[in-house]
Amino acid sequence: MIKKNKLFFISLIIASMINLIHINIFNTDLTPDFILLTLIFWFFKNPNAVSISTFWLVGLITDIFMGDLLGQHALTYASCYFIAQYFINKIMLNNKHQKLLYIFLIFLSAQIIMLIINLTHDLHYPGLSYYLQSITAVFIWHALSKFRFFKLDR
Amino acid sequence: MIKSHQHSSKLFNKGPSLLSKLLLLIFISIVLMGVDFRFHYLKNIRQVTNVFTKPFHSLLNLPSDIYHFTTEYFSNQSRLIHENETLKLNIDSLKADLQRLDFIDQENNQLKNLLEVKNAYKFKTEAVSIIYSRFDPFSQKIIIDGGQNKDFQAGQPVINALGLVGQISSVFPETSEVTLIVDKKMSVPIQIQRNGLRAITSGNGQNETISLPYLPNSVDVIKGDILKTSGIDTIYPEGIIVAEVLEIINDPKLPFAKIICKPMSEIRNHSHVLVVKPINKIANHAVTPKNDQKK
Repeated sequence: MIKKNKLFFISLIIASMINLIHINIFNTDLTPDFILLTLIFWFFKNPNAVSISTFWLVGLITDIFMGDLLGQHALTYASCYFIAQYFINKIMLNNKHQKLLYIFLIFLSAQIIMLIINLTHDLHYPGLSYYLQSITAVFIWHALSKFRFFKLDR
Repeated sequence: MIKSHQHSSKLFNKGPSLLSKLLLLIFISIVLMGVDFRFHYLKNIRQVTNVFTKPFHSLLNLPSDIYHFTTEYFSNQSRLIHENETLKLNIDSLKADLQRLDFIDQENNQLKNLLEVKNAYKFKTEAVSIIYSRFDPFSQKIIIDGGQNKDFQAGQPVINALGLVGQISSVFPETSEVTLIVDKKMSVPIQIQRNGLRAITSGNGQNETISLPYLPNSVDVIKGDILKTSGIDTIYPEGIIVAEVLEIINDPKLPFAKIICKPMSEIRNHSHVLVVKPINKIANHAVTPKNDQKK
């Protein structure tokens, strides 16, 4: 268990570092939220290992380091946990490509929650290209699922 | 084969349900956000945490730094010699220009003294490197190297060789956050170079453009006009290029023209910026400064 915890923390630190690198094409930020990607991966890998409070706490720490408002990532991640928990049976039952659809939905909902939070305190609407991040997240998920470690089938 | 993946099974239900936990956490988050929005205490927390994150940023910048170093190291020698020659020529012509400019500046000051106009603001600049741009599609901000250690203050303008970049919005011990002029919360008082028309820009956020709001449909602005800072706010020095007019949309139904401009400082393509440090400020505050940064 300790070994897994170590892996969990290391993966989160790596994800937060990747989050700082931007892949900027056509003036559009394509980098998805790697921290959320890692959290959701660990959730599907072992649903009992991470709880909603873990998601919330990681979100809060993310806010402290790179958020705009304290609590926005915390709220988003906690809601994502709830949505993931709602979808978990469907995701485990379905085949690989249907899984991707659910991953896309989770990311899209995360983006929409973030959008609502940001629009309420008078920031601009980033345009349709903002949603491309969910699509890149799905592509990354798909690419990584080819490796044995990332396989969710049990 | 398929097990139930529910966090808590109904047989051994311990603790509150997931929905109630979610609602509690959402409530706490909203309270945190509300308090933070009102009192901005996250900025104070950042003062401490930024010290820890800085090494990570330099580590992340390492690959690109190594790439730039190696490409420069292995670049063709003859190309470098050629480049050196052209640069020397450029320096000569610039020096000649500078002499003329010094003369004109002096003459201008004398004339202003004659007319008893207060001297405009003199400034010097300090070059700093851009560490990274914030991961945030909702606001346009960059982080520069240097903060309280270099005596930077919130409100100082940031420029580069091509034009105005933005303004320092918050200062941390070793870094500062610069809000770009394309940010929605940023406005800059400008003057059109061709006819001296004064206006205020407003960032569009997306598309890397800025607009000139509240100008009538009949306004004398044409495509290609250069916008310069007017200097009436005592924050931005006079005459710094801000943007070029890209498009004017005149819709008779709307009371104001829609003027879209493209910032001249191609900030995404540069790694260094200059922070403007005022030497002397305008003595008389006849014109009240417009609110440049609402945040």
